[in-house]
Amino acid sequence: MIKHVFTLVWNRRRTNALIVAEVLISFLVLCAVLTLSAHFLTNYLRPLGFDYQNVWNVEVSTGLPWSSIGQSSSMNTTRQLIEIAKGFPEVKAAAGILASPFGSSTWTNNVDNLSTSVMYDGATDDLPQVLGLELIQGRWFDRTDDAQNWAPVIINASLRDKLFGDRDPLGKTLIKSSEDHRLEGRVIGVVDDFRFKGELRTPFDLYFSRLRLDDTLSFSQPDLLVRVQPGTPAEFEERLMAGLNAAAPGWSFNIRPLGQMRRAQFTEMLTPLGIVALIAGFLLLMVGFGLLGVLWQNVTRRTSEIGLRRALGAHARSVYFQIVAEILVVTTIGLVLGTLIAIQFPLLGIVDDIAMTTYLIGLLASVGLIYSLTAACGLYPGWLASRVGPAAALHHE
Amino acid sequence: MLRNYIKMSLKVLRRRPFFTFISLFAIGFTLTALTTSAALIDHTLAPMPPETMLDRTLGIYHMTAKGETVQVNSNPGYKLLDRCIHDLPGTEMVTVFSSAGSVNSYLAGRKIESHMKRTDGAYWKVMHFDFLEGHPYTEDDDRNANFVAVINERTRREFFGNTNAVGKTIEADGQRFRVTGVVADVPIYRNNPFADIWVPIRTAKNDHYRSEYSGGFTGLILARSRAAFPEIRREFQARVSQIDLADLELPGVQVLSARPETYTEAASREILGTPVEKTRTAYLYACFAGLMVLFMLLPTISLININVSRILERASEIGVRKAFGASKFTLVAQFVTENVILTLLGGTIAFIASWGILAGFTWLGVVPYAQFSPNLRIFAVALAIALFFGVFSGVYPAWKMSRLHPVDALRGTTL
Amino acid sequence: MISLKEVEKVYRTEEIETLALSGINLEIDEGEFVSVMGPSGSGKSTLLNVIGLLDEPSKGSVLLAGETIQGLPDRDQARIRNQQVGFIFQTFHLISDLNVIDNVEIPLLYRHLASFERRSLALRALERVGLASRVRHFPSQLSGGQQQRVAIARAIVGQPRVLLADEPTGNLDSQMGEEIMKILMGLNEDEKTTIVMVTHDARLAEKTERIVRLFDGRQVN
Repeated sequence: MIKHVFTLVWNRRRTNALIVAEVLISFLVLCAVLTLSAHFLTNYLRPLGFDYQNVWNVEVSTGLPWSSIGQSSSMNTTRQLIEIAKGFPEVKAAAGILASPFGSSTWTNNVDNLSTSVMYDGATDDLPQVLGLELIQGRWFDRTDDAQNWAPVIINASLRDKLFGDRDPLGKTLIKSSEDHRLEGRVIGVVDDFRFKGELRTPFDLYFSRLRLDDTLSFSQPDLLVRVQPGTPAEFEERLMAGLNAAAPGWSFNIRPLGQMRRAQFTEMLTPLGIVALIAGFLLLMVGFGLLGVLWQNVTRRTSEIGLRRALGAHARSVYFQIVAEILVVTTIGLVLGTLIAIQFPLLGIVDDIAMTTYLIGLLASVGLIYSLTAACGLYPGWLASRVGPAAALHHE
Repeated sequence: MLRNYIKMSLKVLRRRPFFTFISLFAIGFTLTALTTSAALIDHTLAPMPPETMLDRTLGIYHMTAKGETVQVNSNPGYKLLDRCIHDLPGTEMVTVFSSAGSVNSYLAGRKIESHMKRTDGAYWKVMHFDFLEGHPYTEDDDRNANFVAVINERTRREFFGNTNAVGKTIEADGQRFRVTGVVADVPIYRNNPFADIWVPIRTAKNDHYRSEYSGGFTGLILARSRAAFPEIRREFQARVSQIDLADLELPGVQVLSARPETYTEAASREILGTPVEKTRTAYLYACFAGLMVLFMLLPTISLININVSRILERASEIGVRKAFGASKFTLVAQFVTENVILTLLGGTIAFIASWGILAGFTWLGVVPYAQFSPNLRIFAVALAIALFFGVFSGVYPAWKMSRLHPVDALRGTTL
Repeated sequence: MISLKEVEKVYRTEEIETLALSGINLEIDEGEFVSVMGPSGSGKSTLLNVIGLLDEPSKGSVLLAGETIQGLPDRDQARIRNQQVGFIFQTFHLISDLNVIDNVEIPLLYRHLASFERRSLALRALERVGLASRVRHFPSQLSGGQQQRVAIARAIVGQPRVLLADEPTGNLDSQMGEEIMKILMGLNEDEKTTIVMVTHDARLAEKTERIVRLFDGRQVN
């Protein structure tokens, strides 16, 4: 029986090749959509590590030519701006940060004993008060770090596990001093996590270095983060802005609550997914449409054969199976090919950001969906076929 | 004859309502997607107010500075444009303006976020904005750094409700401007005219921009005619090549290049990611067409399958028609006509559906200030796509049908 | 009118060759009414199909109204079928989606006549078979005998010189069969239409002028 079906499929390989191609393409797109959705969902369910409520981000643009960004005069002004912000009664805490949460900039650096580069962020001493960061070991930066001849760093739990395992990380060297790093970087504390790139992104290893704002910073202008009292009206934003503008007349500021930046990031990341999902839906519809075409051909071409089987006592159900078997084989060929292609992505490490289990979930869900579609498409033509009477066989010569 | 074809096809379509519905659905769905995207492309690239003279406009949207260790790809800086764009041969007007930057305003405890463009005075002559009240600012306003602004309808509503705005003052990015005119909203995907607030370039907070070769600005050249394009390009590029690279303050740069492009060329470069000098608009259109064909391929295959079944069901009819004198050609004509009728039905559904979708986009404000409305051009495109689809998916089954041997055809029975 | 010389027809599949007709020589004059008889599979229908240009002979020549018909391009074959020949089938082969008059009009469609001309010719043909009152009915609303009369109307509407009838009474009871036979004989007498009819029914065959007998694709006399 199975062999018979395979022969049928082979004999009509030209039509079937097209259907296989349809199944293959739609499977790959569907797989991408489901895998990515599963990936986002698992990321979303993990803790963010900081509190973005009631925190405003002040994006600072100095308008300076890029060659003179980070001069010590700018750093002085930045320090003054933080003090001005802290002066308002509505402000609970303020800090400077290199890469803001939900923002677009990221910084990476090489770390001893680790082949891949590690994400890092620069922050002033007040960041934990602003973002509610919890230290699980050691302490955050403070004034006592001023006098050291080494640079303090704070790492997150996943970087600690990777580098130090069960050993105590405090006081250990993260980065040796070298040409690039004048001072040796030494671990003084561990935070649980700080997923500043947002909930949808995969958790990553990270370390903080200390922003002192009293020296030249050779590469970048930090932004400000301000924690305001709960319920602070937008009207305060105007006064804060006026205060900042007065302190740095040539500079421009853009104040946005982190909550708003988070929503914008969600939209930005989920919109492409939505579009691809739409395309996948369209492709699935078209596959269903194509399968129906093949099925109907099966029924019309084989009217006499079906009639004969009916005359010989075949059940309606076995006729249905007879009709659907061919497309099940065709679909399976498409799915096997599709899986072979889809599995290359994690194997070749093209999408190393996505966990293998997430990938498998996406794959299996896609397979299930396409099989259900195939079975559903068989319903109407199967019903047509089961209505073929035994007499139909006799009409043929 | 045609009337008989139409009559026959309607009868045949009624016989298998399920498959007719499925076919119509797939055709309608595909054509809706295609028509909607054609409309979106049209709205993004076609000349329409305020860019009425887009077809004889060249823009400098991009510059590259390259060396062994450095590479800067960005929009041009003010200095580059200022040095090269003026007094080119064959030009009518030129304008230089900044990219739309985001600025905040505060009004009675309320925050208003806007996009601001800093432009020269000629901007208002190159673009034909629809002024709801007042007038644009002038070259003199720019030269004297007068704090004046043109705002769009949305900004007027945000600041002043439904009252007139000319002569009143707005605050934006910590500066105060007197409103000289109000223009209709322009959608965000029209890069050159889009903004909420337009102010003279020289009102900028500092003049660092005047010494920058890269970043932040765009220049437009309105040529007397398209015939002048090659000469303008040659002269502009010659001027760029004369710039002293040391003046860039970017050590290691060996080549500086910027090329005047048409809007579609710029779009091709952005979409395809090709270097400026290799951009071909035809290539972009070929890509669009290729994508459309790919997109139509699946439904076409499926439609062919269903059509073949429809034919098999009608084997006896084909036999009879052959026996009574229908030639192969007549039968092909009949079947293709039937299929075109089906696709035109689907096309009508699609046109109405995409009309609805575009109206929905506009109403929901998915894209700020977008006014998507179908026009004749889009209707023509939709019709062309539908016809192409109909003929394409009809010819193969029809050819197959006409080759059916009459004796075999008559022997077959219908389901 | 019809002239077959040394006609042979071979059906080939991948494994076997079947000889359907062999060494057929047949002259049928204008206005003759000829029956073709023989057991199943003796090549009767194939002979009819070859005469009517539905099938091409493998060997030999066929002349229809003085024209050699083999090797003609599709367009000319279609024209000859349309103008010279009318077919009547055992299973009627009416198009179920079309009503009676539309079915009868089909041959005229391929002559590019104006629609009122088609209408009046079709009505005249239906009157000839006594069905003028049923023009708006659909085939499924008619009895078998009525359906076959519609099929005859369709075959004669273009006033062809040859009628080819493949067991026209095979699906009908004897009374209806008689009726159909009466119509055919009337056509033969009044219009001098040449008729070739395949039949199993010896009683009907005896009413015709000449009987051609086939056995295993050969003519027997």
